[in-house]
Amino acid sequence: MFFQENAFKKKTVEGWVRAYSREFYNYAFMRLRKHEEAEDVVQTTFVRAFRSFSSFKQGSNEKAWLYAILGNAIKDIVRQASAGPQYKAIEEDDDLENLLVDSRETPDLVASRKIEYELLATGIANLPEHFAAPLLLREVSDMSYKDIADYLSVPVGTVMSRLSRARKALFDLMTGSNSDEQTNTKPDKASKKEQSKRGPNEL
Amino acid sequence: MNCEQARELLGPASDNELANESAAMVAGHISKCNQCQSEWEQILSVRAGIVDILAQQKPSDDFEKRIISALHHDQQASKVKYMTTFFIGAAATVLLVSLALTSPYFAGRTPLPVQSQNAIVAENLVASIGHHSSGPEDPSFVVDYVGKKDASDLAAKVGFAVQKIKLANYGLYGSDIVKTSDGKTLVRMCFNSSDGSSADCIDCYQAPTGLLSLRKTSMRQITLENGQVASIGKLGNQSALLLSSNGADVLYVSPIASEKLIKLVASAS
Repeated sequence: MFFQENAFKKKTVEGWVRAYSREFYNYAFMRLRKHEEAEDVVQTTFVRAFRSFSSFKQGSNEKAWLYAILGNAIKDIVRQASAGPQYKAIEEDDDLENLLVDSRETPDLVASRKIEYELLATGIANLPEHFAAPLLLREVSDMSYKDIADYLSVPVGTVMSRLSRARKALFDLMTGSNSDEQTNTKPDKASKKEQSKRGPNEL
Repeated sequence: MNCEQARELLGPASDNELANESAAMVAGHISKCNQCQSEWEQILSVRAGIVDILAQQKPSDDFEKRIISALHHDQQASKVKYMTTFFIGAAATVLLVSLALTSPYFAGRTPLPVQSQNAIVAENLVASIGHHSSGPEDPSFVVDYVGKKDASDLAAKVGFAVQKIKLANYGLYGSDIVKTSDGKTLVRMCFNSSDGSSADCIDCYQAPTGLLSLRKTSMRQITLENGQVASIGKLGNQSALLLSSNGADVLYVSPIASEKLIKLVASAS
C-alpha cells in the first residue's frame, strides 16, 4: 500500500515537474533575478510538494497549490539572502515608484545605464509581493483575472487595480518618467486585509 | 466611449479579458486618442520587456532531470524511513514477546547497551537516512531538506566548517541538514553524475571532526593520491570512504565501486 501510494505520488509530481518547472523558473527568476536561486527554489518547491502530497486535495487546482509552495520557498530564500530583493509592506504614504528603485543608485546613474529591461527586472524583483504576484501570474503564468483573484483571495477589481498600478510604476521606472499623477499609491483595502492576514511578503 | 472609460479597460483589453464588443470599442477609441494609445503602448512595452528578459534567461538543460532526481532521492529516503518504522515496530514486538515469554527474568534484565553519546555511527546514519541502504538501525535522525546549498551556506546554518566538495563529472543537486535526537548536527550533500542519473549518486556527509565513526572492522585504511589518509569499506551494498579534513569528518557513500570512489575523492577539489 505504502509503495503503491509512493509510486502514484512520484508519477503525479513528476508530471507536474514536466508541466510547470519552466513556468515556475520564469516566475522565480523574475522575483529573485538569480539563475541558481531560481532553479534551486523550483526544485525545493517540487520536493516540498512531494513531501506534503497527502495535503493536496485530489481534483483541486494543483497549479495554485504549487504556486503557494513556490511563493513560500521564494520568501524563505529572500529571508536568507541579504542581497535579495528587499520586500516591505506598502505604507499609507509610500510611493510605489520610489519603492522599486535601488536606493544605492543615483537617478543619474540609473538614467545613464539606459537599459530599460534591466530596470524593469530590478523593478519587478523589488515590487511588493501583492503587486508582483498578480503581475507575474498574469504575464508569466498566463492566468485569467478570475484565477488570480481566486488564488490571491481578492476581488477581480483588486487584481485589475494592482495590475494597472504595477504596470504603470514599472513603465515609469523603465523610462525614467513619473508623469502619471493618477497613479494611486495608497494601499487598497484588500492589501491591508491581506497583510493583516498573511504578512506582507506572502503570496 | 470616453477616455476615462477606455483607460479602465486598457489592461483587461490587453489581457484578453474583455468581450469582443468591449474590446472593439477600446480598439476604436485608442485608434483615435493619442493619450490612450500611449497608455496602451506602455502596457505592451512592459509585457515585451518581461518576454525579452525571460527569452534571455533559460533554466539549465538538465533542470527537469535534476528535479526528478531529487524526487527520486527523496522517495528513496522516505522508503527507508518507512522500512525503518516497520522494522523497528517489528523488532519492538519481537522483543516484547521475548520478554513476556521469559518473564521470570524480566525484572532482573540488564538494560540494552546505549550507543556512545560522542559519535554518530556511520552505519546507523546511512541505514536510517541514506538511500540504497541495506537496513535501518537507528531512526533517531531528523532530515531537513534545504535545497542546492553550497558549503558556505551550509556552514552558516550548522556552525561548523563544511568542506566545499567538487567531484569530477558530478553536480550537487540537493543538501540536507541532519539532526540527531541528542542535538548533534551534520550535513548531507547529494551529488548526481552529470548525465542526471541517480543510480550512481554520491552522498557526502559532513560533521565536525570526531563526530562520525565507522563501526565495521572490515574498513581498511588507505592513503589517497593527494596524501590524505582515509578509511574505505562497504556499508551494505554501498562503498564508503571516511576522512578528516580541515575540521570536518567527511563521509562519502555511493553505490559506485570503491576504486572509482577513491579516485573521485582523491581528485576532488
